[in-house]
Amino acid sequence: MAEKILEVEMVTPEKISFREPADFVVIPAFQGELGVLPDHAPSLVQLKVGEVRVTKGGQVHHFAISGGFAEIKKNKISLFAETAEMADEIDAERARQAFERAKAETLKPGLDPLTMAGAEASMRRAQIRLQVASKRSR
Amino acid sequence: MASLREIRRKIKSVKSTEQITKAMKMVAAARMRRAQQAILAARPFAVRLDELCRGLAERIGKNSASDSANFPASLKRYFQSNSQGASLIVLIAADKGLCGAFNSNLIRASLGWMQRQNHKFYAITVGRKSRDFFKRLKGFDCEVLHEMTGIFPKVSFTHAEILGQEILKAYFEKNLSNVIVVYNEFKSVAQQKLVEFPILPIAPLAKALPGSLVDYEFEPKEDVLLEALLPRYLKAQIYRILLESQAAELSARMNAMDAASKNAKEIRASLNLSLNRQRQAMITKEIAELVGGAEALAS
Repeated sequence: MAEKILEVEMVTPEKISFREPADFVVIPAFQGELGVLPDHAPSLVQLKVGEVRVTKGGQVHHFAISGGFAEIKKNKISLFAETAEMADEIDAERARQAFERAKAETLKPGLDPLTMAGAEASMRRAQIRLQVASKRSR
Repeated sequence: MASLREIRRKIKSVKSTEQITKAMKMVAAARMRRAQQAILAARPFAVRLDELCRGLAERIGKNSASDSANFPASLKRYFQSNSQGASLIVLIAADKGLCGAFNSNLIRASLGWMQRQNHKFYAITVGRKSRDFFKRLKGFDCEVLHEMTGIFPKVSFTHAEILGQEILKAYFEKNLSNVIVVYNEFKSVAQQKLVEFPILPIAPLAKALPGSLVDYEFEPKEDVLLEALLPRYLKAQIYRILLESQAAELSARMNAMDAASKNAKEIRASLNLSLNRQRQAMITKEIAELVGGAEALAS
């Protein structure tokens, strides 16, 4: 059987952080998770803060990304994100601290909506990173 | 004529200056190499983002990328200037001196720009030298909206994000007419080019590559996508500008320190010469005295 392989590319402003073939990719699209197999229809999708799962030969890689875009061409998917971190790279302790800090920030009384939104966003980011980091050993 | 001791002291001080300038040069050179690599690494992201923006704009603008008239109102503002509004200048200078004319060129250019403004304007400063310049500035109706210092020589995309956020906030809240970024571009190791870059409103995008984004599915709709993409596009540009400025600063410092080391070497050589000459003169004098004394005894 002629195997179709999906090429995954993660581009951040600082570097191309990941470029590997894969069988199956799940991305956190704007309106819910989106699974991408080879021969997917070409599309342009906005991503939210979330987790990307790249499956290759039964092995799953987890990434935490902080919003961006995905361009899906025939057998190639390019993810543009401000940050993309692999599960192994995440410092779980630091993420946990960031989470606690952001959580404390959101609980402060009398916060203006802008700071509140910022704190909530960083809380969400930290949460995703924690979630991804916990899947490292699996 | 200075005494031997004085000359020796001077030589010592020139020597230590030379060592410092040499060390600074080497540090700047190493950092510059890294800064150049960062510019190259940032390129794919910026290029692809540019392509996507062009493709999307072309689809929304009914097949003419430059025609923003067909855009929904929220997008139009990115491309169209508010001629009544004030201007914003973003001056990107270094945190430190000792880099030749790097900072003074920037300051001269921005002064020229300010003199052309005929009403109030706003400023955002990046780098300590830029901040200090605006603090000292008198006689202009200028309000500094944001200051950013201590980001060089380790610029990351986070800095570009913060700066981009501030610029966009100012642009929309103050209803500005345009935003200009003044910075030094890295042309080559020996050359920096001063650039006044109009970042907002966005210049008409170039035509998309043929066949890009044809038959695509979009989630969400094209215009919503483009609206989310444009801030990122700007931030990617700002990131490139910061990286350029960083590499330019380092190369300017490298050249300045190279020249300083050469000068120190020259001074040291001439001091050494006069030291040796004087020592020789003293020895000759002593011999003459000795000979004279011996002759007096002999006679």
